[in-house]
Amino acid sequence: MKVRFHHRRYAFRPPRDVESFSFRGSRMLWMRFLKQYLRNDRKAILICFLLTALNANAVYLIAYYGRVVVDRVLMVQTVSPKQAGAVNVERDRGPRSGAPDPIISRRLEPRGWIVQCNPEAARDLTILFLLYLVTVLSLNVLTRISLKASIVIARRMVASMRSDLHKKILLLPLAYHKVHTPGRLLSRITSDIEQIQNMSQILLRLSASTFSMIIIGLVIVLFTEWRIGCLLLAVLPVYFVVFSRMRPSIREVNREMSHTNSCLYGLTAQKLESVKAVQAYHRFSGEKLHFHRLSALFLRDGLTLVQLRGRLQWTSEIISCLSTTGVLLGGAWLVLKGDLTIGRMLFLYETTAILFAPVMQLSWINILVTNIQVLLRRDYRILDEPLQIEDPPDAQPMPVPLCSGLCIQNVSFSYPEEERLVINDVSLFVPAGKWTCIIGESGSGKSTLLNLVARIDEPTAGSITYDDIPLEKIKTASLRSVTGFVPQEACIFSGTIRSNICYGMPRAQPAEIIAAAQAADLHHHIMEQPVKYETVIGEKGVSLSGGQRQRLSMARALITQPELIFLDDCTSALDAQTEKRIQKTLHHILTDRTALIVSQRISMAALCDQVIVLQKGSIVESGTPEELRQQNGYFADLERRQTGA
Amino acid sequence: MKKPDPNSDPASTASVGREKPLSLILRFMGPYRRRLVGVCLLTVVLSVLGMLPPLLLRFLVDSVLGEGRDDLFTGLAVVIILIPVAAASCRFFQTVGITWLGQRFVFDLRAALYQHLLGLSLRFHGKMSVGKLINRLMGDSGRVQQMLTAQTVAALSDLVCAAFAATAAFSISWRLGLVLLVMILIFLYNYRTNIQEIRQAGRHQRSSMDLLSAGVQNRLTGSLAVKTFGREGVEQGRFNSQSNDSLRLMQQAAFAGNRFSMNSQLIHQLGRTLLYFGGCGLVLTGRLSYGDVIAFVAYSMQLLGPAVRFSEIARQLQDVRVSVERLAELLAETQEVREKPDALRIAQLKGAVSFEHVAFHYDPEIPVIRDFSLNVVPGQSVALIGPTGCGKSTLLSLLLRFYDVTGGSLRVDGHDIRDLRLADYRQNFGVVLQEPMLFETSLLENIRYGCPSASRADVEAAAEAAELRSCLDDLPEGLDTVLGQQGRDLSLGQKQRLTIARAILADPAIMIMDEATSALDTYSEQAIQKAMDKLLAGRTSFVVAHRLSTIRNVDRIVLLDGGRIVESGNHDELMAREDGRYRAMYLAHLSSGSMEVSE
Repeated sequence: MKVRFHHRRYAFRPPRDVESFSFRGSRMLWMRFLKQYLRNDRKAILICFLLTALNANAVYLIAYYGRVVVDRVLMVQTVSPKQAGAVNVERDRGPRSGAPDPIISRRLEPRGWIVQCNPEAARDLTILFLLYLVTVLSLNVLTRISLKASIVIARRMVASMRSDLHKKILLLPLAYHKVHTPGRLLSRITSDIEQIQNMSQILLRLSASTFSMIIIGLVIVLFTEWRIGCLLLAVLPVYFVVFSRMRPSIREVNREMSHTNSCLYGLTAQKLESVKAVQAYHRFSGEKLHFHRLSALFLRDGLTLVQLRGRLQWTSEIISCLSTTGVLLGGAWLVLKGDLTIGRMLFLYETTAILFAPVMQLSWINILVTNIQVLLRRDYRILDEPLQIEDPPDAQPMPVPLCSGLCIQNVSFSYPEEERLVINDVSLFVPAGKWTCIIGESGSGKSTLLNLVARIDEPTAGSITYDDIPLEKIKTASLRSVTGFVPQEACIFSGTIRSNICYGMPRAQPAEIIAAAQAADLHHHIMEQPVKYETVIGEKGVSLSGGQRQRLSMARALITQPELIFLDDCTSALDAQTEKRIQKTLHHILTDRTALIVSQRISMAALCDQVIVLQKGSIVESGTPEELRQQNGYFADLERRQTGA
Repeated sequence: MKKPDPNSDPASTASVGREKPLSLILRFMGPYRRRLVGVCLLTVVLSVLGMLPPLLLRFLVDSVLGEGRDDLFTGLAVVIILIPVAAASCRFFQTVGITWLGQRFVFDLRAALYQHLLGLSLRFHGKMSVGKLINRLMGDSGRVQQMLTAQTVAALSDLVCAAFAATAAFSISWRLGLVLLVMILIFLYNYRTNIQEIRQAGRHQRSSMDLLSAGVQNRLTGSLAVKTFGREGVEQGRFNSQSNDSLRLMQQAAFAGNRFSMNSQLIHQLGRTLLYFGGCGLVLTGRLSYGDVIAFVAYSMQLLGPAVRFSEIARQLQDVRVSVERLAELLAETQEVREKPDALRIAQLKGAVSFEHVAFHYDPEIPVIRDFSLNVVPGQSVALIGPTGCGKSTLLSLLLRFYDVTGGSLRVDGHDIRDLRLADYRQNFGVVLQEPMLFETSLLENIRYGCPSASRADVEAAAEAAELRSCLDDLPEGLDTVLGQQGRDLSLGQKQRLTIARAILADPAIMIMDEATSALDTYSEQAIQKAMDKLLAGRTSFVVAHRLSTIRNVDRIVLLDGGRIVESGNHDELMAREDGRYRAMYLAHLSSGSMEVSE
């Protein structure tokens, strides 16, 4: 049944991305996954598979016990109408003919059917009972073992997958992190893998039980009564045909609904965040309309979905119950004719009934496989992301102290999948031991340039060299150990002030920590706290103001006493007095060290030996502050505006 | 440094007039009563139909086959075929019906709650985070829907089935019935003793996962620091150990779960064995027929499921109750500002604003505005400055009628604003705030937000006036570009220009600017200045700003402190005062080289 999707382009609901899989691609994906994470446990997985199959098929065995009970032990038999009358008379008379052993006939109240027992009925029953018990108990024990094994295997798989993903994510360049939010990456590491784990376990169990049960069930039925077996063989394909025709529509509707749902979340989040605008412009009825549209779409799709599912459910129920009742009635008719014993009939009926349950579960297997595939694809996309920043085998350590300086030659940069050049053919020389300042308006590329020089991102063109050694040939670890980087947005890690300051140098001495805090003008603030350096900050702790965070960031960088320091607009949240104090301290600490400072404040630029003005990714002015003042360009203009002269 | 306040959640305080959970559900289900009753009836019918097959089988085996009554065969065959067909059809209608009910219920509930939330005071929104609101609006309502569709039907069905099965089983054989009873009791006992352990293990696992997630989130947010300090290895080690901890707990929880389910399965199967063979023994002694045995065993298996589910019901109901209570709490919050029933309709206002001894407080003990009087003629620009907390933004909120004044009156064009229709009144305002409030829709729609019926040409003119030409030229789709996808969109300066365009388009009589350029760097601010000047020309405007450079040219500067006017006049007048506070502030910042008032 095809579902026609009517107009569903609404505001706040962009069209859904339709993914498609090639069969070959997905097979390779599975092979990769199995090889990488489940290879070592193949034997254990096989054993689990077999044990699960065994446990599932035990029902047939139990049904067989039932048959033996009915036919041999209790010897329940039917009586034809002709004999019914005769039996009433013969009941107390004596043995019936046709029985293999000497028999005793019994009359049962209130229904007059014959049970012919052998004298060892009680004994046989007890034996069967014990066999039954043993079967049940041993299967239980075996299943426990297999379940335990599968959990251990799952644990190993999850541990390695998580570790690999996390490691890869940490190594990916900053540009990647800018596009992919932490929240989304987090859900890949935790939620995605958890789902893969759960679904794979279910998949294993289901596939082991369903396929084996269907095959063995069919074989049993064919052997017991081949006519009924053939009937079933004719019915089952019908089932699959119906199912495969209806599944695609159900899947489409499901995906549409989940997309609408996430758009609803997005819509309400946006509007509630900007509730001031909604109220100020009094747009209640407009917002109501937007919400209604999406919500109503969700409702309509939900009803369509339940109709489709309901139809599928109805069809499969009808097929299965008609088949099982067909077997029952057909068998009963054969029994009345005398071609079949009751035990066999009941056995056939039970087997058929048992058979249809896994048939209905086959659909789940399909769903599980697809869902796991979607998740694997997403995770492998991350794992396959090329690592740009890797040390080649002939990497050299960083030349310290820097002799000539840092040379940037014709460097350009643009974000992946974007054409716009954030840095456009920039060439610059930063002399060693001197301070260079980069100024420009927001969006001019200042921070990006700094990131390139500090090797947090890779330029798309051009080269960067330190003392004539290209940046790619320098050991990253060595570079990191001698540079200090103070970012624009200070990141606070959950922990104490001390652990935050010592982040780059865990074994710092208390004197060094205090010196760094003093240099960043933070020490007296810290001493005002009850627990001083042990104050807990971060999510669950005390919250710091913007200025305090920036100063902490600076202390963190300064404690390592770096040769090379990169400051990215690190005084923007500070007031004039504090900024002056910090500038003085920096001047004191960092004389003779190479510094590259990004700022919007003229006061900072005026302190530097060299100033570069960046506009839309290109250098427009460069020189000493005095030279730029003479040039009367952007620098001079900015100075006028900021000092109010 | 601020300490986090654990008691700042307004929803934790009991609000007066909160609805009881049950009455909330009934209120929203009310319109659909009849369908609900219909679905319940269907469920009962369905349950009964589901209980019939064992009886039919018994009849088949005992009477038809056993006694050779093949005259009854055809009749029985028809019944045996019809009953599952009828059951399948009933199930279809039941599923569709209950899903329809659930969907309609949640649709109505969410629409009502959303409308309500949008109208609540800014103070409420300030205290309650958007994340929490969304959890309630979407998450809690979904849980209630789930309960209504899945659990109610399942509970009813279980009840009917259990009653039927128990009656049937005991009427077949009371001896076996006793054995069954013992088995159920053992089953329930096993359940109760194990469930605590399982829940505990689950809780431990969840909290270790929370720790893991928090750690990863922290690390990824600080990925720049991780890189610049070269600490990838250390962080990876930390992650691995946390991951191992959580996996160890996962394993424990899983083992506990498996133990329990295997024990249950064992009890289940042993019980069945006992009942079956016991029944066969009774057949041998002549007390039962074989048909009785199969029927009995079938019914006894139908009792275990419901038995367990009944013991879970109280807990599930409790979970749902919590969700409903949270929703009721939100619905009970009252809106701050109510329109009078006989409110006046007005068209364009001229923009003559007069504050007459206005006083305001959120909390009666803490007055925010005290005796504020100001007369503004149309077209005049007023700047409000002063230390943090002096009430500048509050005055703007009062002007926009986000709150009603608690003393004095606020008049616009001679009318007390409380007498006017809210929608009409707010049409006369344009707002530019520190944070540009833009939405993930096209630039066109964003600019049209204040004036939905504007034509495309008008929007283009407004964009031009707001100096957006260069920005639009850079974008391939121009005005039709949809904002917000992939997180890398316009710069802050460009976004503010969009909000200015929005205000220009709305062409209001009164403009409100609350720290419109505080977040911008000097250069961007300069670029916007032209657009802002165009916007403010000829309109009454109220500006709150920290950068004294932006307010030099306003007609009137009002310096507030403690909710009162301290000084008022234009820039030259105030600078002429020898010991004026404004003069002192202005001079201090002139010398420091950064033209900002930092508090």
